[in-house]
Amino acid sequence: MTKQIDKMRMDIESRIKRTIGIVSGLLALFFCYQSNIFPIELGDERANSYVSGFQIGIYITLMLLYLAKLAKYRRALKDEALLKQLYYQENDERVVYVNQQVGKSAMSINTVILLFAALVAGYYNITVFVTILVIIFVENIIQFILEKYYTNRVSVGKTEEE
Amino acid sequence: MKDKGIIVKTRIRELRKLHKLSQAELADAVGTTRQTITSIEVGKYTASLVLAYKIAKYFNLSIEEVFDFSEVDMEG
Repeated sequence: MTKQIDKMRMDIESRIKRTIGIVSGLLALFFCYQSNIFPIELGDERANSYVSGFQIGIYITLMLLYLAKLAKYRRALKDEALLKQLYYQENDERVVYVNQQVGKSAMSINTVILLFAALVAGYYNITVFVTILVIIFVENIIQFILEKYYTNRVSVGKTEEE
Repeated sequence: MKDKGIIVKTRIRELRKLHKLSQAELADAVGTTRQTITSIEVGKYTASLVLAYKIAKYFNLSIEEVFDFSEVDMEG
């Protein structure tokens, strides 16, 4: 168990570095937004304000989420019991099973919803219609690649079969 | 991991009581969460082979002595 906890500690240390990188990136993007480096020019005041509000919301929410993660990781590094608890939580096989089931179902439900959305959008706006089709296409390509990857990871080659 | 319709009954609760052990203590000893032990005990979740082995080993028993596989269909 100590070996796994040591590995987890190293993993948490690299996660902290990664999280700091992400928060810095978000801060840089937020700064770019505030400095109007990439101005939103949709030609419509209401649309500009809507997108602008959305951007602020996204930056702030993501930063808060990552800062909370950072605090959790730092606490875990200082407290062995917390680190152990975090390890159990993240590696618990029931949680892994639940996540697998969620991923499996969410993908199929997403595709069906997007197909219906594309059908409806087709009546009103060609850009939205094409965008949704591209999303469905990309989503399914990613699923196909991941399926191939994980199938290969748990399969043996022909030579080993005999 | 969990076959639909197959419930593997376990003696975990009985063994815990015998050893005066809480779910949290057992969970800690075998490297899982208390919630997982609860789910296995009530038959909501079937433990993986590795976890079943760890639990059995903890009580110094074989897997078959802790988990009841009598309802598992060998052909299906």
